[in-house]
Amino acid sequence: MKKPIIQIQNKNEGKLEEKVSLMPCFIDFDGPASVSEFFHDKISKKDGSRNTDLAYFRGRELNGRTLELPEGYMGECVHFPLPDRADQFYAGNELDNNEDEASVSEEHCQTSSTFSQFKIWDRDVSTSIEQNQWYKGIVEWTQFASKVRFLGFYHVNS
Amino acid sequence: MKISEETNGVDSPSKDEFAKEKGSNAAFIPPSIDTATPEKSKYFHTTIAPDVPKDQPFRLGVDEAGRGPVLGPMVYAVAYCPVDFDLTNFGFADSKTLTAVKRSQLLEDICNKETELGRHVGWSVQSISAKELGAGMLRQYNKYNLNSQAHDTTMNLIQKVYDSGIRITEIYVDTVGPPDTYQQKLQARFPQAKVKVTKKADSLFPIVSLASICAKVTRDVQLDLVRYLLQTQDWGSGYSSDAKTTKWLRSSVHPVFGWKGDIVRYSWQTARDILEVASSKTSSPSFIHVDWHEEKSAPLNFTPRKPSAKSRSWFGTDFAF
Repeated sequence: MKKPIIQIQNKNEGKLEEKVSLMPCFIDFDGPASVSEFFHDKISKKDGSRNTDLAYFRGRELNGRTLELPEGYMGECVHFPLPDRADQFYAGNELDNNEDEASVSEEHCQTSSTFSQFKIWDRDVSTSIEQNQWYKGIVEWTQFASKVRFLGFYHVNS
Repeated sequence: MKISEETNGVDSPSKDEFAKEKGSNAAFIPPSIDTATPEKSKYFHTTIAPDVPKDQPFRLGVDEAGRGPVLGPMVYAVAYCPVDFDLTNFGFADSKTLTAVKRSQLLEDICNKETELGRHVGWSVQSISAKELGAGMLRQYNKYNLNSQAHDTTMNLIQKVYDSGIRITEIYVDTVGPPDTYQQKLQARFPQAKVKVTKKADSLFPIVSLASICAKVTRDVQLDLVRYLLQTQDWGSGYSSDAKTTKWLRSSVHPVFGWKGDIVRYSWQTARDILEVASSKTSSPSFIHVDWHEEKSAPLNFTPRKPSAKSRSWFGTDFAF
């Protein structure tokens, strides 16, 4: 189970990942795979369209659009290395004096590369990309969030 | 011609190299093949010699190859010649008994425009790739079924021959399904000709046997070329009933992506059993599940898995946006 705090260590700043795809399916696998050979290198343009890409995954046709991240945002490819000795020490330490404080567990991951755009893929549906929930999250909500100013509220017990 | 040593591609093979690989002199590569990308869909046509008049009655035959296999394209072919031209002495009558070598030789003769046969016969093929077949059947909406594809392809092929100025007066079609409805459909579409749709038409009508040869040789060579380019083991006939084929499928499957070469029909149950169904009997040991979130359109004989907690959180049923 993922822990509530994730620390990102930026080790490879500047290394740009050119091929990042968001798939319309859940792949129950984490690890290396020949993604370029089977997928990224075989992307073509859909007939009669400048903006729409065409690719296939497990025989199913996918249509893709390139999404640029909004200004001020950056994408990071991260991976979670095996726990190092320091974490193991903390996890097993029963003599920790700070036990009564709420101890929040942390997980560490490392950035392997960054990206400024990625492709969103969908099955053969004719709905526009603006309906896509990820598109909405990244484009509409970030625009909305930049306009909102948050206030603090103080609740007074009577 | 050298094979390129770069890792990202092999140049299209020379006919000599391909012939050596096949180990026989049946290395005829018909003009209906694209040797650089043999796995792709392709339309090809050739016509009669220029001195043979087009404005005379022609008969046309339709047949297909590769409807049932799990590997490779489905190829539809039409062949036509003047009604006056006698086909009986060329060996077309008994196409079922023809060997692959004999079929290849016959097509080579047809392609030779110096011979009487080559001058009087025109033919076209539409090869539908494994990728296109699979994708059509795996669509979420408007699934394209094989029968619709078959009928549309046939009518397009025939129409193009009419468009080239050939006056077809007789059409003979081999069919797998019930002949009557299809015959009515075709007859209505092409009222200028007498249409005959029947089973085993390739043994009844030599012009259909001719079309059958065009389709079969095209498909066979396409498959052989793809196997040569992939440098992979012998996969047998390409039918799921062939033990060699299922062995190849099982041993060469990549657990995430499936198969290289765009040669497998992912919609075929045999392929789905190996790639998509977690059963100790049929799937590979390193099976990986992919959830397309489409419980509604699961095929009848496929038991949908309950979405796992991981995939539910991915698809967002646990949070509101």
